[in-house]
Amino acid sequence: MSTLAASDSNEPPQENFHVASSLLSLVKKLLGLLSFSLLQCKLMRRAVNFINRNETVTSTTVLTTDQSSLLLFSSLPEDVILNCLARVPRRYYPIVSCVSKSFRFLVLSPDLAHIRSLMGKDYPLIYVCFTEKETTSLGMIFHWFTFNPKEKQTSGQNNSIQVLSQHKLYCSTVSIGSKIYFVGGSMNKMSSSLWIFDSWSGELREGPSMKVARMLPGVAVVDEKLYVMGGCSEALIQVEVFDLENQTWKVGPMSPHGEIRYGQGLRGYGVIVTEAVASEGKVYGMSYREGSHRIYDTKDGRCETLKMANEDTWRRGGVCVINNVMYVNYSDVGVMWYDSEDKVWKVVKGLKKLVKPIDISVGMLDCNGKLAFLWEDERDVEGKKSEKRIWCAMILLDRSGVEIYGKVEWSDLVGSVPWYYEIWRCLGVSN
Amino acid sequence: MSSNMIMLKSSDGASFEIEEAAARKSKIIANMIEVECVDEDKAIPLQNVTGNILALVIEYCNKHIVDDDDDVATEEASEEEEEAKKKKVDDWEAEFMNSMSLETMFELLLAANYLNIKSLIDLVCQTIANNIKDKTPEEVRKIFSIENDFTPEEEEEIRKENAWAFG
Repeated sequence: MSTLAASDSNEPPQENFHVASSLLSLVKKLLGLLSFSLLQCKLMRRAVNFINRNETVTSTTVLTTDQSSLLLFSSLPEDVILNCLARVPRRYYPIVSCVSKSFRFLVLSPDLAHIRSLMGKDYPLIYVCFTEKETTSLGMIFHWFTFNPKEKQTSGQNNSIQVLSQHKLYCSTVSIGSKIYFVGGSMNKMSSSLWIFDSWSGELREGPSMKVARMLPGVAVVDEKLYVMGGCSEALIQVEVFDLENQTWKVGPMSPHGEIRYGQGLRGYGVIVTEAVASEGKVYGMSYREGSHRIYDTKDGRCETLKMANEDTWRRGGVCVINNVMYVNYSDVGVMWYDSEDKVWKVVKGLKKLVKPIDISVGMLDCNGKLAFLWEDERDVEGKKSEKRIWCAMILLDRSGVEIYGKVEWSDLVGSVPWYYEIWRCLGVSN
Repeated sequence: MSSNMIMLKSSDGASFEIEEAAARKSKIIANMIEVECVDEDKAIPLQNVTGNILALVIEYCNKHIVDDDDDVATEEASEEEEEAKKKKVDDWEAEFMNSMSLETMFELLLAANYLNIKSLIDLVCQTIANNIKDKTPEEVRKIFSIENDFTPEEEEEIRKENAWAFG
């Protein structure tokens, strides 16, 4: 059991909690500043014994500087240092936060997030989870890579970075802000655990456990809450809700009436929710079988059945919600959107070229209102498979009346991975 | 275009003559000019900027005031011309930043911050950021003379957390 869960059991009244948390953040800030100025003192002392660091001087106009007044990076005003750090691509933050305590403090401070968003640098970083084609005795093996959709690939240089290749992360995932949540277990492995990865600090910690152990549950976010559904026997709690603010799990509402209940009729593979997304307070949980896709209303727990446009041509990964519209990639017709009012699927117009064969894994995600569409292609080098290239198309979506039009803004190679990796899931991790 | 010249005086007593239009790149000086009606015969004292750094600031301002004028003069320039001009400025900035040591860069940044010259602050911060990325924590510490103030236990802990980031 984690310490977090323990502290939640004697929850302080809401008001005190706020006071306590703001006091805590104040103390943290003061401590940070203290260690920062202590550091400055130390460094100033060191500066007196300064030895010229030739390796950094590529100077043609070296200016004579009085050595005793030598200026160091750490002695610059904090807002200036933050300005510099905000310009470092954020995939380096886990490394930057290891430099010193003050660096770590600044990287994790909300001020940096604020400056970055003012600079318009809050475009999401794409985290792609790959699985290995062969399942080992350990079960499925996952590999996470990051791709930056803003830094277009140039000169064949690979800008994918491998992150998080830990075997325990066999589970359903969702991202909120800069964090990725790993919920439950994967194929043939039930688990009630919750792991939280902070993409800024690189820290992975265990959060409070769910009430029920689950295997590949559906996970979606509604109003800053994680909704976890299915992945367990029908007799158990079908929907659990994790409140990010107070870090506690609650049982999700279940409608006593209505046509069906969540989990009802879901047996065998049906309990697995391969894909879940949320739109307008409803969670769309998709499974492997016809008739087992559910739309769950988070307000009252009512459920209805969702019909896919074609059961055989959609695939895990190719599902996302952008501006409250659900998009699914069908290998026969391309990307379609779900008109939740008329309960019909409609083709996104103008995207013919994106139709991919069913055996090609794809990933779709919301990139600040645009659709990022990732797909893989195996390159044959002298008849031997060597690596798999990952492509990305950024698609502008324009709704006019009853139609949605897609326009490819750009389409390019974003990186490559070993040939036996397959896209499992894509997440946009912001801020 | 204004050809008014004003005088700036550094903390170590060096005087510089600069076009008012260039000096106005600094919000602080622009304010002084507007509020205090700067006397043409009297230099504006800049207590926090030494002569060698002020020389760099003036070099930057002069370069950019010329560019700004070009923009006005050739408003209908073609896209390619615009691009070529932008490239010229970028090249100049790269060369400018390349010519100085990190210490000078920090001093320049401090001066730009004091004088409130936004584009120069951005330029220096970006250059420093480029020096941070693609480096290991050890390299960053070495380049920026930053002391590793983590205890070996703390460092071990962080490294374990971030094991993947070190490849």
